[in-house]
Amino acid sequence: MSSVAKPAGSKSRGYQFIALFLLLGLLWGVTRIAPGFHEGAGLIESLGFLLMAGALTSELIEKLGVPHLTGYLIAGILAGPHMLKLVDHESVVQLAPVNTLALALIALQGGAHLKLELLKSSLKSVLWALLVQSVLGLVIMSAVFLAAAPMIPFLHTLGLGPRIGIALLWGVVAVSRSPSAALGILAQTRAEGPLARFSLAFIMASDVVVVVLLASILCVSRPLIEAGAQISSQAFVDLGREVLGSVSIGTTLGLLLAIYLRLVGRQLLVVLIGLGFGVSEVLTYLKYDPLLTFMVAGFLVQNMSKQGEKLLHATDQMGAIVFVVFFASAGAHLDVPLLKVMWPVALVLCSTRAVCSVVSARIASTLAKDEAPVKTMGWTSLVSQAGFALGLAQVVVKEFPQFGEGFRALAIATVGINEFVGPIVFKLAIDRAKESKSPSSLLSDAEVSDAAAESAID
Amino acid sequence: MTATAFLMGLLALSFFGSVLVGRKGSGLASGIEFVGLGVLAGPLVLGWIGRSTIDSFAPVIHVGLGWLAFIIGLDFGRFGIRRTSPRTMIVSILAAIFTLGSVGGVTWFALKRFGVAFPRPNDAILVSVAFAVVATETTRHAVKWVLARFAAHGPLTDRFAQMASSDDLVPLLALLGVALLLPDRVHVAGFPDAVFALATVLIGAFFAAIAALLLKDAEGDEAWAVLLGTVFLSVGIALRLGLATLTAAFVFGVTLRLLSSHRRAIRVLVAPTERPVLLPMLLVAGARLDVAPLFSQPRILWAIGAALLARIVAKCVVGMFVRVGGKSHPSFGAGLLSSGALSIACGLFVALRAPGIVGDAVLLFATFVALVGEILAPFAARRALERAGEIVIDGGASEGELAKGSAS
Repeated sequence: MSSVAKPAGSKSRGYQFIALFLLLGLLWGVTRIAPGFHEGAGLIESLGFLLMAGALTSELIEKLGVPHLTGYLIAGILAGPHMLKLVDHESVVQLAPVNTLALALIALQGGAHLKLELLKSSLKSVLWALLVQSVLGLVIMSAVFLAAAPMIPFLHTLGLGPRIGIALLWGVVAVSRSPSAALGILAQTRAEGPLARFSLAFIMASDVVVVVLLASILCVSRPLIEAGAQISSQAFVDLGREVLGSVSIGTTLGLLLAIYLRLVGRQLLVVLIGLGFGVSEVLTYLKYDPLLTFMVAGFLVQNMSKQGEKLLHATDQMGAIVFVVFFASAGAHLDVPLLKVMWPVALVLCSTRAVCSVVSARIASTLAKDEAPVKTMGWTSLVSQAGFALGLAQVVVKEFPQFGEGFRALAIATVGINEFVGPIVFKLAIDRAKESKSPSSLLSDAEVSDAAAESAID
Repeated sequence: MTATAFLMGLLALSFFGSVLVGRKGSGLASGIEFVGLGVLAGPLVLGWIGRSTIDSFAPVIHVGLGWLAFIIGLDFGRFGIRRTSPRTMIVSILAAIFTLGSVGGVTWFALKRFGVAFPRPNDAILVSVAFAVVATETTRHAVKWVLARFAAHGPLTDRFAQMASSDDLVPLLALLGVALLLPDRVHVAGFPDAVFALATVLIGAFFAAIAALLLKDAEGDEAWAVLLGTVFLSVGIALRLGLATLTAAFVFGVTLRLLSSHRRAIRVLVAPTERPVLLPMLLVAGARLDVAPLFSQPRILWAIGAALLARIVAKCVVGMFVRVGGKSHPSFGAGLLSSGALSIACGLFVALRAPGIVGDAVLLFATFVALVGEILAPFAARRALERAGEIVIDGGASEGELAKGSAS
């Protein structure tokens, strides 16, 4: 039985505001009385504060139609090492395992949301969108990057060849989306409808496409960037191994998970935490892609067994906590001073990327003859960028250390803007398409079950 | 062992312990077998888990201990759905104070008598108070165990359950004193010790009040974010100030139950997390046990022996004075010897905060207390309940009894 929660009134908002203010004041005071005392304390406080501040801020700004996720980000930015310094840099770094867990959960949840009938129904739309967004996005964004070269410090000393190579790499980063942001919004709004279906299917599928695209562009751009380097097929061999390996492990994991859900089905949270940490670690060691692996596992559980709803329920429950910490720590991680320096070029790149996404979405929707909400608002889920884009930038840093740091700094600045703007745009579109639903109250549900248990005893 | 392998091990234990061993009445009441598992995996035997691995997980361990104290706080003065009567609560608090004073006094006397030397002048007092804190508890799990095993029911069983669920207040408040004596506490000019002790209580109460306020209109799964966030903050801030994190979390639990209109729902949400958190903590305690520093002061073992004896005597004396149905039950006191989660949690807390001879001695004492309690208490409790005619031999607990006895 599920009870629908009453929307919070102005009295509740007042309490939330006071609580947030008190928390900020208390933590500020305590960190001044005993700075740097008891190493573990900073991490525990940070985790607690990000959870609380994220949840409270998201509630407070909800009235403006802004998604919870943006509230988590704002809380993280404000509390982070560049603003109020309530959460120090070391604690943000120590929260990295939570991000590993969050990404595994996001992928598992994303895969489990991809129902086969849903995919079939939006297959044409997704395929057209993938094709148009990837090709147009890559070409246009590479060209824009090249045109903006005078504004980008690390390109100043490079010739045209390397600039084209780097622009192509930028194009790949630009066509990447944020599965975590999309899932965060969909989890909050519990949206159901053509726009939610299309966004989910497209973003999950686009992840795979971008991984393949990056490997291809790395092969092509290397000879342009490094004098004497030649196109090597090794990257494709590695990519094939990574994709096939990830799919195989994902299939095995999905089968095991489905069997577990069917036969045992208890302590799911412990199992998911174990999978999130343990399997991610093994996959990283074997150089397989955790995101793809977990997505395949979730997809398999949803479509090859009857345990999909059970898995979704468990991931939703855990996601409520993990998403807050993930996005709040992403906010705390945001390099505000760097954004201050790079904002003009970052703004140019972000706005052209948004325009490019809108135009590509319109073209793809026309070709696929999409329904109205997808045609007019399908682009809204494509603006967000987060950890996945930064992961791609990290690959570029590793492959090309000679300019990688500058490339990553620019990626951080643009992702920072997209991470902030994207979820707001998507949430507004979901609300406008009337696909959101009211959340149920966990405590009311628990009270109902407790009362039932008690009456059974009596 | 790498940090990830250690974490996976803890999760596996949490899982198997809850799914396979977690059936009512199975396993030992004190959970001492998991401490034994930790000893086996730790540096004393196999060396799979090193001291440095455990130290790197200190924040997780502090949070785990805090969470257990929070659950104890939520359940304080209740056994399942039943409330402890005010009279029994006063009796059990007085009994706990008596045990605390007896063990603390005997330990202090023994340390002086055997001439145990410590690195710091305050350490003898610290060890005495810490031993007393560790010795005071009677675990609620022992009662659940007896209930599930023997389907016990009646006035003596009720008294047993009520006393076990109400005596935690005393050791957790006494832990405030332990925290003030710890070497790593924060000193702020102009702030006397009493202010720090009060601050511990205020931190717990403040965050509980915030949680109660926010839980009123919590939507969706937000309740978890509020609960975890406030517990983490109270533990984190208490730790930063060098205070008793367990006391702050316990006060949090008690206050939240008093203030929140959703108290029943919170207990329903939180109760299933107790065992998955408790078992890894017991294993960590076992793995953290180190007797090597004690060899520099072997006479401390005499003090441990004296404290153990003092505990047994104190609990038996308590048993003699507790009258149920107009009669005293001689074995009842020995039945109260069962200890577990809270004792070992307090021992582990001191071991983490005062590494060296003090911490090792306290954790070793906590383990001995649980072990001795496990050997003596179940038999004594069973005997007392049999004599009172409250046990059906070879009978299983009825569904109703189990449901009432379990913490919802």
